[in-house]
Amino acid sequence: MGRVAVFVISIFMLLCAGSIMLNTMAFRPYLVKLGYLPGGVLTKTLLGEFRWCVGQFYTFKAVTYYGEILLHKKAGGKVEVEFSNLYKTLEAAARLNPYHEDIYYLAQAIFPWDAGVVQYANQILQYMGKYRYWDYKILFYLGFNYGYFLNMPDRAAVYFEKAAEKSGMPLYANLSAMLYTEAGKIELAIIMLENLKEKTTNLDIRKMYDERIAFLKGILYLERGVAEYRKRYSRLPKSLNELLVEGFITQLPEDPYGGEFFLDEHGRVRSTSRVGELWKRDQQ
Amino acid sequence: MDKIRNIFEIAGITYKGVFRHRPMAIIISLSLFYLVIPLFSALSIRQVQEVGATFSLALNSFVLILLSIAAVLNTVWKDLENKVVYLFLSHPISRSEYFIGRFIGCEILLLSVSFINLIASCVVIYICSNIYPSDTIVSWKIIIVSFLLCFVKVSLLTSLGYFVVSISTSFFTPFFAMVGIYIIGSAFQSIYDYVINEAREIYPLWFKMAIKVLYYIIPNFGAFDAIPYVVYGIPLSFKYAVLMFIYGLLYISCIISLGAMIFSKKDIS
Repeated sequence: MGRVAVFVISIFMLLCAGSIMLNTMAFRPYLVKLGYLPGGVLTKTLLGEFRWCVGQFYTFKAVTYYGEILLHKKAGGKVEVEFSNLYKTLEAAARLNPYHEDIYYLAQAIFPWDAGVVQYANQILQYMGKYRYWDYKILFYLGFNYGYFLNMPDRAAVYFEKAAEKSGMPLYANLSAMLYTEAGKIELAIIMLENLKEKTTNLDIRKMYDERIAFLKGILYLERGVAEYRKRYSRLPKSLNELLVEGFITQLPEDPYGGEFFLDEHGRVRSTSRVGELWKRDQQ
Repeated sequence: MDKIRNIFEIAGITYKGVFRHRPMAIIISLSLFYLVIPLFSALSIRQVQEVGATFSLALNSFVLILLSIAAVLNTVWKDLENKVVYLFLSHPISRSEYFIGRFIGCEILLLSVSFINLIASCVVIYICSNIYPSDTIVSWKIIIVSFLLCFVKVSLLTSLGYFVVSISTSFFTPFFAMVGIYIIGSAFQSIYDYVINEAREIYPLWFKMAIKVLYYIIPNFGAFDAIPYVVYGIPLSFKYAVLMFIYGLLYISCIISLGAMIFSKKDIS
């Protein structure tokens, strides 16, 4: 009888402790959640044939960490994302398994757009490009990063040429022409994001792309309205409302990041949210 | 003819006896982890098939390595420890027949488990490729070749374990020797590439020569790793696969014949 009582009490206490633990773990600092994952030459050497799956496991950690952050942000929470640690995790994953597509895919999805550090994505892309020699998407992303984020259309053109050659699709070589106009750049960004979104299984990341694409489509729509207005009146509109009143646009698109679109002093469409164009921090 | 019959009799006894050992049964049951691989792979952003294939091949290798260590410790070493070896040797069989028979019994066991794991892996990869179709086309032929390469690699490790048992009577020696040899053998190709190619300016000539000599002695387990070929569709040449088979078989032949010679002269009283 006594043993049964001890067992029942233990079970009850274990359930209570589990519930407390669940709450405690949910509020751990994000840095702790991602943790430090070794991925140097020694780790790679010691892991031998198991390095491929360890590299994939590191990528899972990065995906779940970032997915959790997206959810937290969606719920209105403020989170300081450990981009540097995230980069180290993905870099370690790339060193262990340089063939795993998810690594460069995630790096390209996060670092240039959300972290404002294009170099992080480029380093991972360049490293993995040496191994995934058949993969033209790496060259396309590198070309895009150089052209769109770093304003280096000549360098971008070289990568687009290589992507065209490797994929057997001459269309890639023509993409560099889009980098010379603002609207063209945005269109290219939409193409790139659609490419990233294609076949993405992770729902949080898909949602992130949908928002980003909607944001850019909003800007593109307004930029086109401004260009038409300029063509007709040879001057810039004073505000976006003027485009609406004059019938250049039928409605003011919504900023999915919660901000409002406005015209800056150079006639460029911007948003008060600034989330979707964080990368421009580098250039301003 | 009698010798071959004796060897296969011992091999049969070894194979049947394995399932009576609880640790061996536990290791084989690790293959049940194949059931959770599709769930785990589904977490990938768009490499579900690739993750499924990588974990399937890695699980097979992991199970076979554990089984190899357990098999070495549960056969000849345990026979020596429990004096069961006298029962065998009281029959008209030589020590080397007993030694080789035990080894072949383990090989049959490893081959059977490899076959079960191959079927499980094919099912897992098929499920994963249906969850998310990949750009990489699954080559069942290369999957079979990679399982065979893995089997040869683990057989090589087993033969080295048997060799250590033939010269040592301690439990820890074969155990740590097998783990150590596996780690060094897996890493040695990278060490060789680093010393001879990447950092050739740093190291003196004598060191590079020593590394070259060791390259011929230490088994190159890294060469049997076919995971990237299977998973990412990197072309695997037929010549390479055949060369690895020949390398593995020759190494096993050298080690087992040397082990049998030493075991014949071993003081087991």
